[in-house]
Amino acid sequence: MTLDRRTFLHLGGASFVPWLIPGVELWAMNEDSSDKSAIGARLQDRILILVELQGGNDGLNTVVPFRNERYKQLRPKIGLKPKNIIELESHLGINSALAPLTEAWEDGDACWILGLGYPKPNRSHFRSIEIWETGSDSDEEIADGWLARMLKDHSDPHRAADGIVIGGGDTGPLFGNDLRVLNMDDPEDFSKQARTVPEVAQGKDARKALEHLIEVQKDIKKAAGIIDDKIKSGPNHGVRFPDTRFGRRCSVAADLVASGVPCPVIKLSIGGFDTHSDQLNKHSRLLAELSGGLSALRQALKATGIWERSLISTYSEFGRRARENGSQGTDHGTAAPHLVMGGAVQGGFAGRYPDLGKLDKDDLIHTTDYRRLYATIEQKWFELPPREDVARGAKPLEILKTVAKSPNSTSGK
Amino acid sequence: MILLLPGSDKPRTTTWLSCAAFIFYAVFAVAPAFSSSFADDSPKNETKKADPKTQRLGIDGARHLLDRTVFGGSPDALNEFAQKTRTEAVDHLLSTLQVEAVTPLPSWSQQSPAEVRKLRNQDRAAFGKRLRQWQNELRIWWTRELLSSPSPLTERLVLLWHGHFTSEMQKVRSPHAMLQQNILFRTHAAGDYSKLLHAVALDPAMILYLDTQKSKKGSPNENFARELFELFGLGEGHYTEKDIKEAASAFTGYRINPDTGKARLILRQHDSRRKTVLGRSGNFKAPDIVNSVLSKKASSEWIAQKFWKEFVSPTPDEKVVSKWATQFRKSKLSIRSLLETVLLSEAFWSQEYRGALIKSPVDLVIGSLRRLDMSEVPAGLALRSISRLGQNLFDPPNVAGWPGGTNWIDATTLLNRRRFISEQLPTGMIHLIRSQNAKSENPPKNPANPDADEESMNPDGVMNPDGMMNPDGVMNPKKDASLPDDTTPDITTPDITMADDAMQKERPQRLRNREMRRLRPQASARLEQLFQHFRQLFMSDTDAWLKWWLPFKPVTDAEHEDTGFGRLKGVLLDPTFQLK
Repeated sequence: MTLDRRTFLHLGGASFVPWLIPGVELWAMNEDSSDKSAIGARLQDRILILVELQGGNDGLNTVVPFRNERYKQLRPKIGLKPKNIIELESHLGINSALAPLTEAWEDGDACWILGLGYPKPNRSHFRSIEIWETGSDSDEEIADGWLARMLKDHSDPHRAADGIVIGGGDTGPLFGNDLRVLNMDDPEDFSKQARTVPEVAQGKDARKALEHLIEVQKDIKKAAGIIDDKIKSGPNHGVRFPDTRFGRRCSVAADLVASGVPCPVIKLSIGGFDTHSDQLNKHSRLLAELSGGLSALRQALKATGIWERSLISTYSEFGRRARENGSQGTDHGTAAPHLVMGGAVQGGFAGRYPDLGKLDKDDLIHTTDYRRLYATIEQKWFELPPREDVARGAKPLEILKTVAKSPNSTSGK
Repeated sequence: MILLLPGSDKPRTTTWLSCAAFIFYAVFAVAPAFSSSFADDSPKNETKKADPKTQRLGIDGARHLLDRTVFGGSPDALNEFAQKTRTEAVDHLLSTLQVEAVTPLPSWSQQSPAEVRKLRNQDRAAFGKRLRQWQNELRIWWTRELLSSPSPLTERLVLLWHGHFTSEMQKVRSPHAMLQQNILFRTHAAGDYSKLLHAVALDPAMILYLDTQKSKKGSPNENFARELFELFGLGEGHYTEKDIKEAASAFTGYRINPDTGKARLILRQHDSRRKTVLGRSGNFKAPDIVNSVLSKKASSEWIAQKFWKEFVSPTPDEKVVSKWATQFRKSKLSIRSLLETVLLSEAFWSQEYRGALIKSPVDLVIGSLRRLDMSEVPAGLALRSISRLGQNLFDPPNVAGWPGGTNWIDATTLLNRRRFISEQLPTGMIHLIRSQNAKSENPPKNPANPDADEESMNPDGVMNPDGMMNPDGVMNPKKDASLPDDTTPDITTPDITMADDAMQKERPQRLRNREMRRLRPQASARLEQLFQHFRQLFMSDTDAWLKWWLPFKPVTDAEHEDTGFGRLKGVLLDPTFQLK
């Protein structure tokens, strides 16, 4: 099913109050981006779907500089052959396992940000994902997640939750600051669990510890109530999701988003990217699972008119060593490209591919600070007044169609 | 009901007010009063006039003491303690303190640093995998000790020190060093605090964790000095930035000896100039700085305050803490003596602080298993449950340790806590029955590869869809909460067989669906038996039975289910069971 942007506006307009009409044109009308109610509306209106590629995705075999001789030298055994590459522009192609995303690319809905990373890269899974999820520098420890800081002044009791983590995985970037984060395999199971949570009225003399427990129980029941209601009355997107672990997670995400469950962030994960050996098979299987799920998710969000208000972004702890290892795999590396998709995305490539001729001990040198992605999400997607501690001064990327209008309308006021 | 009707000679308004008051009373008198302590039933003056030498603890008091000191007591322990006076009970607990673990150390712990280096240099990739496996075995080892130790009080203190003098295996990496640190905590758990602090300062894991290893003359690293003052020894406000700088230079040049794995001072990397730290000057080395910290009054107060938060409530009463600290100094910083002071204090027993603490994941999981006589479950299961609730042993979230308290409970962890009780406890019982059955039968066909069983890859329709099916305990301190993707061999699937038979036992086999179904009724029956056993201990006294489990009367209708485990579960699922 394909619909053009006008059609979405039309479809969406029927079921939403005017200021919630999806569509980039209207966003520019937000006169003051720091206005509280406008912020609240945007956080209610726009959805961020984060996809964690667990284990460290190999960027070089995801977005492939296939004409580069150095690529062939670095990857004599596991370098992709032309038949396994979909050429996107003259020098860059993508792994053919990502074929399901071709439509999004052609519609200009997909942007690859190249060379994301940070200085003094850490190659430990645990530490590096912590850096990515907290937004810290390499040698600095921050306790809370970058999204937890972004959202901490914008709580809203009407939300079902501040974030929903689907299918396991930790709360990652949503950790800390008393954010209300739910973890669920699927909404039905969550409701079932929540139903077993007993109702407890609050007693005046309840102690702080008990009071907190009872508050959280209430939160769970409230969230389950909202989710139940929304899902029951939600539209049917009619899209069949791939029967893979990640496909099922995407299907749950589609149900939640399409039915309008009020929650600004959804986090999904797909594991297994730690491809130290036999990479070609494993990696293409993973990318196929990833792209199959994301493509179905895109179709479902398009069918229900929410694609314009959705932003999908991948992230991972690191890319992999540019030079392949002795077991037809790759070891822990550094910078990598990441995919951002959505109806408001300016399709194409952003940033610069790391120079294969200039490696640091066989590792790529990052070209774009990963926090520019966060700045984009904070300032361009949710149009929040920038907090110093979210993107740490990194500049937003020009990858969204609203980019030109929004800052002007803000500063023009 | 006649009373409720208006119509007496009193003015209408008054009548309605009194009606409202009556309704209020009627509702709240009938409904369980919130956080009303069980002790309300006993003489009101218990806490004021009780003579600790003669007053028996009773079930409520015994539960309180055992919950806070030994992860809760078994039925027998509880009955025994109920008959003791405070002094007797505390004396008895202190007499159990140990300085060594009873669980045999992992086999690799005997390796010398040279042997480890050799393994590393032979094949780095294989070594990385081995390292992860050892780290996991270390976690399993301690979990086993937590489950089975005859002195859970010792383990409670080891955990306290681990959360206070933190090191993260994630950074330290060496399971050997982390094990040594755990042993250090046990050796000094209730010993001489000054010995403990001195040992911590030169502990290899600590040297690696807080970068002493990198600190040298000319470019001192301040990491350890700062935390020694701020988090470990004194607390904020008792030192200056200059003290940190000066102290840092005293810690320069300490290196781990590659032959012995112990710390030593390399003089040419040590800044031997005269330093002034905390008001004293001299040509200080590491032990001198530790002594300076110990000489401060704030040092004993800091630890006394730590004990208040650990054993009494989240908000210390400064007056009491200061008294404890004085006592602590008088005892020449004997931790055992401080513990005794705390456990015999009025504050510890005060009704005001009953149920004021939220159980940590270790409290909840280890405590529930110990209480239900299920400590023989594979430790890997317990470890995984603990980790799902947000506590990764050997990997506290940062140098400040686990923040604890209300931080333990959010929507996700609360639902996971409930799942632990309603799903993982029964699954644990199935494992228990299974391993007991297996003792008389043949060992499993292919113990080295639990994944070989194809049917097990398809765990739908079993009682626990998410947790216990994974047999591997925890490999990854951050990602373990999720069911591992089976395509993630490096992180979640151990591909090296555990050599040690005892260790192998701790890594539960993946259960076949068929077997799960077959054993389920047996597990239910066993839990029912347990329930009946517990109830018999308390005869028909429902209150006493609830007191064994909960610090308050339940806030939910805890006993509404009919079957034994249902009723037991109802009690365990009451929010008050999360408190101690």
